Amino acid sequence: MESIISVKGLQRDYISTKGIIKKEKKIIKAVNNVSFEVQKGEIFGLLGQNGAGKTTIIKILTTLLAPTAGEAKVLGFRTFGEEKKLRPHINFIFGGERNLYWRLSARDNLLYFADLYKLNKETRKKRISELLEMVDLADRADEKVESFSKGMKQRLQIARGLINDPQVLFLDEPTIGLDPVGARDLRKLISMLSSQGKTILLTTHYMYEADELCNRIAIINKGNLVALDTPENLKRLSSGTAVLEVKVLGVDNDKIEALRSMEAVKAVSIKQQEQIQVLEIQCNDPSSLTQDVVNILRDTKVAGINIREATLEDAYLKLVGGTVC
Amino acid sequence: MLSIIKVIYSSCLLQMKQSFGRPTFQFTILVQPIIYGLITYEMFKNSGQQNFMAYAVLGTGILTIWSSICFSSAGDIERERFMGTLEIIFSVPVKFELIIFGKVIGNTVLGISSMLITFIFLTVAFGVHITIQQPIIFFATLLLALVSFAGIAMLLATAFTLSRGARILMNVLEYPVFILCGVLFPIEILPVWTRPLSYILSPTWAVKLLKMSVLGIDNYTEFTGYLIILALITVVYYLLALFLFRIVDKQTRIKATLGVS
Amino acid sequence: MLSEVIETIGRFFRQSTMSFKALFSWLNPKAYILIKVVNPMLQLIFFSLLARYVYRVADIMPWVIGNAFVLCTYNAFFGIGMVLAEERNFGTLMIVIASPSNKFLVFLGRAFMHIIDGGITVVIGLLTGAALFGLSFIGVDLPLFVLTLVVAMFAVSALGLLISSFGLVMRDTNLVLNVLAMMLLALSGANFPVAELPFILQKVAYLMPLTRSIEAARLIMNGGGMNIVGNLIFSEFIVGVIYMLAGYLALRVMEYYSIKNASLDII
Repeated sequence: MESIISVKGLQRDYISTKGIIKKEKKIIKAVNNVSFEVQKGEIFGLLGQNGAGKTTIIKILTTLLAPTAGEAKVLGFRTFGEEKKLRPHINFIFGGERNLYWRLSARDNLLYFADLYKLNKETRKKRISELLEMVDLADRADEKVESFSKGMKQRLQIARGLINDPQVLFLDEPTIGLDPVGARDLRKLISMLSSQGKTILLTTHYMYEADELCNRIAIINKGNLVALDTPENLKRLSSGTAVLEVKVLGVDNDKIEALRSMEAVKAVSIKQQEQIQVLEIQCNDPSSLTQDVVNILRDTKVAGINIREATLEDAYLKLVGGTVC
Repeated sequence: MLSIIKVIYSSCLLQMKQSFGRPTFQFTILVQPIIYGLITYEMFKNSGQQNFMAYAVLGTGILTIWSSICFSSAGDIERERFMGTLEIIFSVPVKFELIIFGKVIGNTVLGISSMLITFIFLTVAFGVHITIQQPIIFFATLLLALVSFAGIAMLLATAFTLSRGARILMNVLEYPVFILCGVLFPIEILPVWTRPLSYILSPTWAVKLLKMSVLGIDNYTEFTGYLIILALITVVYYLLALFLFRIVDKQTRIKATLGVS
Repeated sequence: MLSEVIETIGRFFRQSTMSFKALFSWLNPKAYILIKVVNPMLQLIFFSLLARYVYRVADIMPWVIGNAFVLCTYNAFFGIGMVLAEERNFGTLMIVIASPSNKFLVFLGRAFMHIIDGGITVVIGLLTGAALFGLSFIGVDLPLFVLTLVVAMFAVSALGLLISSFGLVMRDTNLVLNVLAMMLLALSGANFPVAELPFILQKVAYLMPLTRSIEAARLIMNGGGMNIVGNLIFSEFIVGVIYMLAGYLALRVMEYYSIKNASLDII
């Protein structure tokens, strides 16, 4: 069976020029040789840091950007070259408050977009009222969007993204800026859409979200695909591994290096939580390491020590390395 | 006294530098004089007016100065508010009015350059000559006229800060002055009931005086009379402006409207 | 098939009005009246009085007509000139591009309401002319006059659309719009005969919209009929079509480059 989304050797370069007279060209590989397939009904996640290339990939798949090299196909159509055939069957929802006309009412927005997708009168009427019900905006449907809260705008976005009953839905950081309740409702909705047979590709940098929702996750780092598997399998990359978490108030780099060079230590990553830095030391047997770690961190102010199981986040950090904000 | 002048001067410079960067402004000072100049030249050249070039240049100059006042000075305080700098200039030890005055002067000075641009354009493009009969008096009058314009700008700036309704009026201020102040055609062709309106606007007198100094002064008593009226009206404008500034001062702090939030 | 056509027409009108509402209903009634009614009236009065003074004639009909037509630049030109940049800022341009809609119709639809809006402003100018300067429509071929007006608004809006396409890549569309609006005032023959202009500027005048329409309108006011002005109206229409196509082409080219190179940030 053909994959719904097929990406082979995808590459996207950006050329940045410096200087006015003697132009220095620098090629930035935003997406570098990425390949994956998504099957019907899957919820597929692209996980990565800001700037990793997730949005670029989604833009390519939604026909808003052309690949520099490689192939990107959705529903068997090339996203650049066969857009016309593809566009009626897909839609996208980007997080944030844009992509809506603020001076129109919710209903008018949907009406307008319905026209852009050439829906006929009955379908239009039926679908708009269904969608407004589904996103719980039926009673505010005739108010101007500019008076909506962020969560309401996001819900309207979802309605907009479903206006043409797309077979494939692309979501770019959909829960960003939403409060926990709103985010949870959105995740419930995404699961429901998937169970209706829609294929969903979403990007996120929230680990737990990817863990909870996605059937499979692709981890993107600096334009490269570094891992592609189910959440369980990815977590197993760090299994047998536990994490020794040490909270410090400022630590020197050479101390970090010293920690890294310890034999029993698999990886050290640093998470910044406002003033505090959290050192995540992945190892097999944290309790035996604690003494040595404390010794190394002798002159540093230690705010707390904790031992826990490895999570998807740790697998991610191991693959990606470095500092997480 | 020296410090006051310094403040005005630096505020003036800042205003001019900032203004150059704004495209609407570039338009008002560079493009408008040329195009208005073209229109007035073409219209006046067949009108049989003597020394019509002087009319064209003078009229266009005043048109442009007034336009630039409408679009810059009037909105200056509001612009500061949006840029977030209003709070800062309000709370410095220097008097707010002086800073605004400096800006207004800056705008007006740039406004004069528009007159110069019209003059250069028309001379270069159409090779016409202008004779000013009384140059010294002309320039002195021009100076007084500019002070007067600055006064109006101060008045407008405060009125617009205080009232949102007044701000909307900014859009319709251009043409009334063009019509009522005898800028390109004498106010005598207007219905008599508009006369009082014309008379309370200082540009009306400024235009009369400037035209006389360009074309030649026959009646010195008349001239002096107009001069006094212009001076008086200008003083009234400044007093009103000062009064309004007091109100702005109090209101903005009571209503907490210095910032945009 | 017929139902398809009807649906498409319905879509076109819905989209035109909707996008107009979405992008331009920021004016409260007071501001609207001042900007769309009072200011145009004042502009007409100023230039008409000036014409009367300078040309020393009692009948200033040509100048009133000319200036009334020029009034449309406020809505049919300025408004449209910013429309695509506004869409981009709202983030809705990318949705339009990614949708399967007929891009040309969407593009055209953006101008539609402005043609009407511009026409209304011109009518306000004409009414002012009738009330204050004795403009009279007795013995005038009204349907022909209305046709001239509609074609004129179309041509001006088309130029506005072209500018709005470029507005996607320009920083200061406002400056361009202001300059062109003034050029329309100066070169269209509204205030002085085009023939008085230096040769090159005459050529420019005939490249711009409004010049031919104003000429036609004046002839119609003097009792002229289709046989006299037909040519002018048709040429004006062609001018509008050329601008419209150029604007649409520019938009598609920019869309292509935006997708291909990501060098333009219109999406």
